[in-house]
Amino acid sequence: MQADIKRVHIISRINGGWAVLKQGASRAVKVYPTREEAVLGSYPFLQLGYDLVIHRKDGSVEQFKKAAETALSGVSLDGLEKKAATKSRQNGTTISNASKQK
Amino acid sequence: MSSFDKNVFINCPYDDEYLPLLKSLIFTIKACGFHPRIALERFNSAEVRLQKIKQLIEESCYSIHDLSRIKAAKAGDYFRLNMALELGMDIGCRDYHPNPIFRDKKLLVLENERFSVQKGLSDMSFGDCKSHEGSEEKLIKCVRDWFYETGTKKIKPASAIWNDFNVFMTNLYVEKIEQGYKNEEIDHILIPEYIDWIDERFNGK
Repeated sequence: MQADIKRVHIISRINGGWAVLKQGASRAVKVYPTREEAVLGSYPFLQLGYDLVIHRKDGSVEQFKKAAETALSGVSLDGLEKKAATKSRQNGTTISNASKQK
Repeated sequence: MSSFDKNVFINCPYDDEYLPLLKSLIFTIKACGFHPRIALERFNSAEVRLQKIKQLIEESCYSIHDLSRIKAAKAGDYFRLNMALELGMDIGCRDYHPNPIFRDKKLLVLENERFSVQKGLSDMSFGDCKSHEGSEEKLIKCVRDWFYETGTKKIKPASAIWNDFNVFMTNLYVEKIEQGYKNEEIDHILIPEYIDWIDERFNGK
C-alpha cells in the first residue's frame, strides 16, 4: 500500500470495538468500545493533516474526510459528530474545541 | 487464465444482502495468493448457467461453498437449493470424475451458525464447516485459516488481511469517486469490475 498517504481509518474489530488505524501501520493506535469514541480518538491525527476514513462494520467506506475539509469545516461528521460530542461532554472533553484549534 | 491449483471456485448467493461478504471473500482469496472464480465473472445470455458452473468446478482445485443463506428467510419461502446443488456437483467431481487430479480437490463449507448446515443436509457430516456469523471480518478469518490448514503457509494473519481490506476499500472508493461514480454505484459495483480492480492492485498497477 502507498506509504506516503496520510490517512487514519476507523475500523471494526473482530472481538468487538472500533480501532483507530494509521494507514501503513500493522497495529492499531488504540481500540475503543464504540465507533464514535474511536472517531474522537482520531482527532490528534486530523490536526496533523491526516485524512479521516470512517468504515462500516463490513469494511466499506461510510465517510471520507480530506484533511483540508476537516480543517476548513471544523470536522463535520454528520450523525457521528453529535454522538461523539455527547459522549465527550460526558467525559469532560469537547469535540468542538478540537475542531476550533485548526 | 490462471492455473487449476490456484483457482478457487466460489459458490454463494448473488444478492445485495450477501454482496459485502462476497467482496471480503474475493479479497481474501486474492490476498492469500489464489484466484477467485465465480459464475458472475462473465455474463453471456447464450451461456447455459449450469454448464458454466461445471466448467468453473473443473477448472478449480479449491472451492468455497457458503451455505449460510440456504435457509428460507420467512414462513412460506422455499429453501435456496442452488448452493447445495453446486456443492453436490463439486463433491461428485472430486469423487467420480475419471481424471484422478480431482481427488485432490479441497472444499470449504461456510455456514452462518455452528452446525446449522447439518440441519438441512443431514446426510453429510460437516464437522469441518466454518461459521462466519454473517461477519465480513470473521469470514476473512475462516477463509484465511482454511488456506493455511490446507497447506498455504506464507500468508498474513487474518487481522492484517482485515486491515488491508479496509484500506483497499478506501482506495477503491477514492478512485471511483474521482472517476465520477456515485456512492450507490461504488457500493453495488459489478463483481467483474471489482475483481479487475483487485487484480490491478495485487499485480502492482
